[in-house]
Amino acid sequence: MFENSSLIPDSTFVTDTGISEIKNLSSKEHNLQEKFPTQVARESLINHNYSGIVIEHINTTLGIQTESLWCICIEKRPMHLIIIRGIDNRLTEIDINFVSMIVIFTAAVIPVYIAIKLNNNSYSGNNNNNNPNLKKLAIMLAVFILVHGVYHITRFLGFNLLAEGVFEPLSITILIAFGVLLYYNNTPGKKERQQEAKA
Amino acid sequence: MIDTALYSLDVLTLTLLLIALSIFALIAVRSKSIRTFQFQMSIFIIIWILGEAANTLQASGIILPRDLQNFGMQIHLVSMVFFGIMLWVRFYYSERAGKKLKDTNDNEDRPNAMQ
Repeated sequence: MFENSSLIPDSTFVTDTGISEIKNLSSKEHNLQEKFPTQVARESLINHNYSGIVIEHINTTLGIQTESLWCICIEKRPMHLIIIRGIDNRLTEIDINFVSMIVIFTAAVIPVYIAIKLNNNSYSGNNNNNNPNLKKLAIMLAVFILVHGVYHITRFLGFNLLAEGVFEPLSITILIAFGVLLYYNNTPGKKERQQEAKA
Repeated sequence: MIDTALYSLDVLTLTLLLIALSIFALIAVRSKSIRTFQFQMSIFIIIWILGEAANTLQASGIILPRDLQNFGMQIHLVSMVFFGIMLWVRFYYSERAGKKLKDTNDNEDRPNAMQ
């Protein structure tokens, strides 16, 4: 985009570089270091007849450019403008929540499937060894996973307070309830309780 | 203000997770086997707690440098992946065992993914 602009001085170098090089450069050579939008950074250099280095830090989310931060390092030398671009492909919070969302909903398939199958009485067989709590456990696990999935959706959409304040504690509370049910399901004497529940 | 609220909520989350861990760890210890669902759930919650702890420490600036962006969230992602794989693997093996049992004896009970 700079190559075609009339505002660009003669000696303009555009290089692509890694993020680590940018960090080293910006920490070593800064006289003035601020974040500017593209046009402001460029014009401020040229209008004040300064030379300098413009460092572009492109942030990506899910592989798409989301923001471009600019850092200019100014020196009072004959006019030179060096533009260095670096693309930050590290995982952002949005990326992580998006991937977590997919993973968690994929995991939710299992307990939902088991709960549906148990509803039809076709999963655990037709003998006398059925566990009446198994369906409750499957439903509770499914609800935990789905609520946790909603937590990741709300974080993905940027409602951090809602996610952290409501959905995450709620999902963990359901997990605790699931643990308690599992505990009583696994303690000695469960067969008797199961028979009582059946009766 | 919001940062303080988020920090308090992180602490609440950690507390709830520790309660969940104690329950699952108790059942896992009673079952005396590392192949049980309860033991694997305990591992999942431990990884989740590590992520939350990293988040809390990073938010308060105590230990982790701010250069490690979203370090806690990355650990949280690892715990979710572990949980997803765990459920699918257990389900796969239970289905496979169920089919084998069905081949040999139709009256035999099919094992399930949660026990």
